[in-house]
Amino acid sequence: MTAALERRARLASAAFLATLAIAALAADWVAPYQPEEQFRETIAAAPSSRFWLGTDDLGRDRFSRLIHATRISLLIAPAAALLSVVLAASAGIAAATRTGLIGNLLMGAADITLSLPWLLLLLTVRSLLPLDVTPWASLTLTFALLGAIGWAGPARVIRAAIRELLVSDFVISARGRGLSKSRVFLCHVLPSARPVVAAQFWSAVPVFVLAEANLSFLGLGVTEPAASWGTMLKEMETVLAVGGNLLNQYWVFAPAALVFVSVLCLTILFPSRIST
Amino acid sequence: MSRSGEPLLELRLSVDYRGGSGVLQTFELTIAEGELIGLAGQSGSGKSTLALAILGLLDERRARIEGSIRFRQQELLGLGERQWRSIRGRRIALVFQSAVSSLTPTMRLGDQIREAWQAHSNHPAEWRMETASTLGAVGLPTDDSFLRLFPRELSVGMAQRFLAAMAVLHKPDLLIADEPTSALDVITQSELLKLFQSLNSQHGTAILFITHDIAVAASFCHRIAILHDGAIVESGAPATVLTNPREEYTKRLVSAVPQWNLG
Amino acid sequence: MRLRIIIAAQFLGIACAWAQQPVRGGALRLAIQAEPRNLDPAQASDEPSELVRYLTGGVLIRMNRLTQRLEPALAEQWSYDTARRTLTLRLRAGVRFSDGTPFNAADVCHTFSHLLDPAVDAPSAEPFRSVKGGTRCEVRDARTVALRFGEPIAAVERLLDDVAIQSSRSKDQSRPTLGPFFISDRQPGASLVLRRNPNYWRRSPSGTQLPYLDSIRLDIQRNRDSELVRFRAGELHLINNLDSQLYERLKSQLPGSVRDLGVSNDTEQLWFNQIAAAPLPAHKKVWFRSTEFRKAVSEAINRNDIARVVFKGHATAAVGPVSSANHAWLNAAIETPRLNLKSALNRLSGSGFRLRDGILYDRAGNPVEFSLITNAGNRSREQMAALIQADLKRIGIRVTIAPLDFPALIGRITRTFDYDACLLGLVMTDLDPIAQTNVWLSSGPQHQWNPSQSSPETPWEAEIDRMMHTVATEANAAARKRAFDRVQQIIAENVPFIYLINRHALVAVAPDVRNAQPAVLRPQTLWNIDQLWLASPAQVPKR
Repeated sequence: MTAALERRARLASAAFLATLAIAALAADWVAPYQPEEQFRETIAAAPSSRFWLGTDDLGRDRFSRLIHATRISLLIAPAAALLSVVLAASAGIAAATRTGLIGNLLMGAADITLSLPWLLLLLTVRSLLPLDVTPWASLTLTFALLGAIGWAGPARVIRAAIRELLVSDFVISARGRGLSKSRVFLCHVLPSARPVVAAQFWSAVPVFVLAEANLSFLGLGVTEPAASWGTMLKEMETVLAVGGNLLNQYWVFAPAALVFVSVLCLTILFPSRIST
Repeated sequence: MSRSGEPLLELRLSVDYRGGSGVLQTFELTIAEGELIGLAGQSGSGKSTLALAILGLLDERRARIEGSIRFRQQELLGLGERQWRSIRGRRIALVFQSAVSSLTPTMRLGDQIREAWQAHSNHPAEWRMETASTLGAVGLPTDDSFLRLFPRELSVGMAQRFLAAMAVLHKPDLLIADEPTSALDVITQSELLKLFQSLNSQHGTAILFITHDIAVAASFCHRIAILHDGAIVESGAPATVLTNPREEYTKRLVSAVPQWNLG
Repeated sequence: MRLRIIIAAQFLGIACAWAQQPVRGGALRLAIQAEPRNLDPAQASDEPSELVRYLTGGVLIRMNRLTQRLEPALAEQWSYDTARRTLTLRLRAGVRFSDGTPFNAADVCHTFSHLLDPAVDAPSAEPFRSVKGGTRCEVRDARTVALRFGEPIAAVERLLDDVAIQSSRSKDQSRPTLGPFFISDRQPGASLVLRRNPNYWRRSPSGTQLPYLDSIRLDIQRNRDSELVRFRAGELHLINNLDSQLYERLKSQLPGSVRDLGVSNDTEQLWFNQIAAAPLPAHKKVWFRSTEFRKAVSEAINRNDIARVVFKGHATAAVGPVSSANHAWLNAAIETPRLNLKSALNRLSGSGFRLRDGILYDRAGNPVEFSLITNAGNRSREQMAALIQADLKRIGIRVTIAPLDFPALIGRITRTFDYDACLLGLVMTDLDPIAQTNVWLSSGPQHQWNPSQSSPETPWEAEIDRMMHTVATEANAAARKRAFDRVQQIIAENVPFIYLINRHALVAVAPDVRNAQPAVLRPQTLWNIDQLWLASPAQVPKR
């Protein structure tokens, strides 16, 4: 990619995400209808001047729901990704620098986390929750759980990256100049590990968006009548299963397109590799 | 050129990595004050291990080190990290083989050299002046715009000179140059060698020049030692070693140098 | 040339169909949604096991699923004594098990001793065991059996439709069989193959031994979408219990194959937790135990919208526990609950509730809100819940929907009682209310809103208990009907269950399957399995 093209792509991505964020934050004003309002006379309708993206099976305006879903997902999926990456980075760094007992314990914990039957644990969590949690509380908790579960894989990657950095030429050179271990770690190792950590973050965001959709199956995550990208993607799944003429229902793919473009823009804006 | 007979560094080392075979086996080498000594050997012969061992940078979790490193009569093995740090960069400095990968990619040049200065200076504010003269001495610009650059914006030659500048900032007694010229073109290489030579002649800095290229070592060292399988197999004046190698390994090493014209 | 052959073949097919001459042979293929949990017919409690029991088991008396009347099967005749404490059955002569061994009265009593064995814990034995003084089986002679009861009893012969007679000579409870088929091959997790019982007692009017089919292959196929795809590809012959969405999809693709059989007996209902010991705040218990509150909720729900939006019209607003499909037992005097927000709000304000700024408050000022649990992953229930949520918002009640996985849901409604309200469906396999005793008796474990009471907590529950006793013991059919009419009336007046809709029975039948007469009652398309035949039995479905 040439520099000019790259700049333009970054500009376009920033503009798109800014528009999306503003629309999502101002959802109450931008959306033509309340997201939970049911127009029961026009269920599963095609796009029209009244309903720009048609209506869902309960007659709710899909465009309004998509905007409100964006507010939920665009805010909380990155927050969960941040949580899991912060946990992963702490564990990964500790395991890379403290070999021996602590490092082994941490990596053992990561292995256990990766192999745990999380479905059962999530079911347990659901059963311990009060039933009348608000959709927002349920959502926040869901992502907190995802974050808590999601640390193990990235922690291994970050640990490996840091171990590699610790024996790299520039780190040895820096120590050869008489710098303290802590200074070398903070100013030379960590900044170089940033792209790895960032990559873990950006790959976690879309995964969490989708994971949330599956958690709603367990009664966690976004519950009716709220909408998230996950639940809207799930609607698409039923349309796919119905196997009708998909081209006649292209609008159903609007949420998927939005998720795809958003994640694309995020990766353009925050590339996971430093270009050399 | 000062060549006093006082030993600057006396090495008697065995290093082996856990689970692996011995890398240095009763390696013995003495470097005199102000000496320019070339250490030649093929890759894998333990050269880089030696450089790290002298600076106390071998990973003690993986490598076991025995013997002694006497630097100006002081035993370095067994020093604490703080004492090691006061030696690294100030008394003994290191220039690594790949200049580009030896500079921290995420730090600006100015920050790196300031950090190198402040590591051993009681006058941290003077870094600008001090570094300017050193940078000038290696033929690098000293202005702000240069110091704001990132390593990736330098050519290989400039990066190597910048690394050398940081190494000699505190006028060390010994400079360990580990394959500093291997990635350079012939012109840049000769410039760097000149820089080392002038360091040696002006400040009396002893240089341990580690290379796989016996020809380069011979071209500017007072003495060359041949490393094979973790031990010195031969050492002496360049002309003697090259023209009349005693050891079989040295013969092979010498004949592996197509550029060298014995005639 | 090829076209001509096809046309000729089609003509041949039409000609065959025209003649309506049943063809023997062929394998009928269909899918079941889960592995049958227990092949011992006495222990069948899940739908796949019950289906296998229906297809393989021989019963004394069979209910015709279409006419809803009892027909003689292994018993030719039956009669009660005047005290209605003994049911005497005369067995068919010359009947043999699938392994060729003869069938006689000893087998019937063997079956009952197994069924009534407390260690077996047979679900279908529950009505027999709940008889005061118990049930005993006596062999009178090789062809005569008497069932003796500790108290006068009614309609017990209907329960025999669930009792597959087992051989007294066999250790294997599932073999040999007296029904049209026997289990010949079982691949756990994959399929079950049933083979024709060569000794099946029944013959067609023209004298051909039944069944016509050689075998039935039941593929275990959890995913109903895949079931549909396979049906469309000609790999499956029949689909039972289609949901409305799949029905609509199939209708657009193969309009000739789907049938909406009309209102079924299955109900969808919502109930509030009225258990005194439930771990709920006291003010919520006051709401849930208020009849006016429950009635207001019932009146605020738009049942027609549920039928139309969620079930695409393949459901009908429910009247009560008996659907209009059950002609014999429906209390026609009860009106379908109607949407009436004004009446709902009047009831609420009459019981001290106040609507302020769109939020309903109780007398003490608590905002009225409750959580509604339902089984997660059931799309139509989740959609119903969303409609109810929107409906109740109009009378100021905030509903939180909490879909739970099935075991967690069952745990809450049967053990911890930690829930406000629940939305679930009930499958009614029998038309006679005797089968619902567990639900209506206040001591019953399935008396969901307040189960297993030691004595009835309300006068109306006490009255239901008395009426159900009449239903269970009264000889006179009209008196039984009157008693259960009263039960329906009490339920309508007190709304312990808020009945929402009755689903329609939706099935699909491949054109190749002949003599299919799908019925609303389970097993729908398969109830006359011994008379089904395939137009082209030799054709092996492509796989």
